[in-house]
Amino acid sequence: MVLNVVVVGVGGQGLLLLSRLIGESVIASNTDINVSVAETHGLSQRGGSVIVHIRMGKEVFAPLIPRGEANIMLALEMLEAARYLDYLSRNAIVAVNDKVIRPIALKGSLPSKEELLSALKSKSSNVYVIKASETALALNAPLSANMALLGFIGYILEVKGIIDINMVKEIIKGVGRGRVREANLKLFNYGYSAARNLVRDDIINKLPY
Amino acid sequence: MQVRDLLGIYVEWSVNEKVAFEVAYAAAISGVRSLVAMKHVGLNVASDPLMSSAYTGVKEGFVIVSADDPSMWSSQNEQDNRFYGLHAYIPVFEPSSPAEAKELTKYSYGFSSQFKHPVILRITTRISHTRAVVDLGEVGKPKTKGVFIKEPRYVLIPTNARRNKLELVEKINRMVKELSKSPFNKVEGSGGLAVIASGIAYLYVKEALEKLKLGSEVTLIKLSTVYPIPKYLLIDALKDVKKVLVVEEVDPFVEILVRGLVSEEGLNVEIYGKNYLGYPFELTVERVYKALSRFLNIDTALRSEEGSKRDLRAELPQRPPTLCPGCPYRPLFYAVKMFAIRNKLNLVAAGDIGCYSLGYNPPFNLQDIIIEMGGGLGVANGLAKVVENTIITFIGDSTFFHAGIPPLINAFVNRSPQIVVILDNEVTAMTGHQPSPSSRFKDRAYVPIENVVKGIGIRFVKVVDPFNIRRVMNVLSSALEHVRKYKEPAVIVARRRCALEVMRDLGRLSLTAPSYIIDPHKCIACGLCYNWFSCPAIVPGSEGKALIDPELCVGCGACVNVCPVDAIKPSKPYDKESIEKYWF
Ligand SMILES: Cc1ncc(C[n+]2csc(CCOP(=O)(O)OP(=O)(O)O)c2C)c(N)n1
Repeated sequence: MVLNVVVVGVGGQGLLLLSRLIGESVIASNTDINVSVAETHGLSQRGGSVIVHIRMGKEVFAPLIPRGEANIMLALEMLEAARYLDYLSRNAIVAVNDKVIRPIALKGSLPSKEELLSALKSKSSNVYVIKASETALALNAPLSANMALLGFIGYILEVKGIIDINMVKEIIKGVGRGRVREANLKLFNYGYSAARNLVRDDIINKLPY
Repeated sequence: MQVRDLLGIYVEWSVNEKVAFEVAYAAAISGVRSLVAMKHVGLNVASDPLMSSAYTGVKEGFVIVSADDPSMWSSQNEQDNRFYGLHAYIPVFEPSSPAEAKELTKYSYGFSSQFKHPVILRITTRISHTRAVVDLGEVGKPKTKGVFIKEPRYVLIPTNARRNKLELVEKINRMVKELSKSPFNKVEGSGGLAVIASGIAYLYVKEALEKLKLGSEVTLIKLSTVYPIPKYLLIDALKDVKKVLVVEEVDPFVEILVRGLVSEEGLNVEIYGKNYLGYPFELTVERVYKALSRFLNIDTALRSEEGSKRDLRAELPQRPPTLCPGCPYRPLFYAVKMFAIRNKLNLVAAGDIGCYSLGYNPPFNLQDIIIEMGGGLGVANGLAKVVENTIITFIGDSTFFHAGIPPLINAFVNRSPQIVVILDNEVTAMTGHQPSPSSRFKDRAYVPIENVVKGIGIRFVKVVDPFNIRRVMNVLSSALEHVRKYKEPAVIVARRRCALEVMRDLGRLSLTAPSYIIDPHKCIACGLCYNWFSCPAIVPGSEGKALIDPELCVGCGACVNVCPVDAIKPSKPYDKESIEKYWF
């Protein structure tokens, strides 16, 4: 069985780093699991909509996740979470950052957070809102919001026995320096605790793999 | 540490693909293994030496990596470069996964050395942009010095070229035999229904077959060497087959070759392919699944087709990529836009490929033609001769050095009136910050663009800071006058470093500029900053007054010059000069 994760947000929010760290954490913790991380957009997508496909399992074939088959979504931005809704499987686990980034040269109106959330909830009863950006900004490290989502999925993958959380922490220490490195760890812990408090183990245990 | 230092090999960013090809080719004809990598359209630029390289052959392994881009995620077309192999008599290998890309590269070197011939390794987006587990082997000490032995084969005058051509045809025939035994092609399962999957299509087919709960009942032929087609392998694999479906990304390359083979050998096999899969865009599991179900006559619906209740996606606002906060192109485009409006100019903006292509989007709409790297300047030469509009061209520093110099010389010698704006952010930003010849990186010499332009003989050459909007508009005025009066090109070099580079440098030094804020008492809600300047960090707040998102603002201060009432200021005082110098 393959566990499918989509990571979505706006180019520049650190999605590629987040995805890479998830992949590296899996490989570093578990030698007999395969993982593939496929980004649909290159660096040319700054400020644009981005989705990354992560698949892990004994045998992973296609790099892209078929629509309707993502078991977990990590969203750094709410509009983008809603945009990629059709990737979700029924009752997928969705962790969404409490942040809307207004597209530039916007025509028409921006949906409200409530509308976006209710769209997500129509697809899954396991939607969790995480204050990643707010926490990151309070730590004066706005670009580290992605680490909260790493913490969030870190908890889930730990419960599944796919990763060793200490290994992940070691990997994070290799990212950034000084103040940023400290903020990264704090945000990671914030996301980790959020998942531990919010996501029931029976939901996690139902995930494939 | 960089791979080149680790391995002790020579690596360079060449000025364009043709030159890169020639650099690597030179090593290979001197007995040193080499590799040249480029995106698919790069091979168009390098196609001239590519064709010749097959005629001369090489002394040691020479691998040409072509990264094709089905679905055009970041390209102007989705050309299928396997045809270059057919066109140039060069074998084409196509890995099915990132791990196989490594194995196949190694194999390519052996093959290329054995036949003394170049090899094209064709990869597509999902190989290039996927991270996956790759087992590394031992790397021996590479040979980095060689000897060039003079031989007539390298001098492609007609008598030599004719002799080479005869050898070339004979070589390709020998390769067919060898490739029919290649371990990278294999046949799985058995039965009268067969699927041929080339390159990454193999993974999609495997997953789709698994979904259909089918395995060994179907003959699956995996091909990772596609040209010359492994004829003997296929003849054998297809001998009991009635129907075959060819699955491949982009064009029906393998399909055409298989059709040829089947007719040549008089095999009794029906062939399906693009008629079931469709031509354009990259493969997905869903797409392959549908084609397979149809081919195998199975009626099944995928989970994703269960139709969601409401198509929210259609209602969501689009989010096209944008220039970054701090990007020097934003104030430049803003100035050009204001200049055009004020002077009621009917501009045609011949654009080009780089981050500035984003100037196509509203509110600027300042890229009317984008066809290929260096294309804007060339097209402007012709436009200036046939249309009445004022012609302005935009070209980045990397693109200027890549293919912009010949059309600029052409504009000068053939007297083509156009305003040429060279956007010098001193780096190749869009593709990931590779050095350009105007980058001041250590270990590289650099070329100031204005020296090149002056060297051509162009009389109007001005260097401006794009953040200085008023000066940019003044210079545009004099450039327009010059173009009109002398009927020749006028060049403006807009120089300021890419904001991402500056942020990275500041980060390393633990320096930050504070974010900027709007004074709500001064702000008159004119919307110039969020509607026209359109920095992603500036958004409309209550009563249309501007707000700056501290999470996105990088403290560049470019918006200060846009505000008519001086309402924008740093959120706290700081030593501006200590930061400012990193921008140049
Ligand atoms: C023939 C060819 N080679 C490479 C590319 C990939 N590519 C797209 S834009 C670009 C260069 C961009 O650099 P520059 O003109 O300096 O603009 P910037 O992105 O820095 O604004 C390259 C190499 C291409 N499109 N075509």
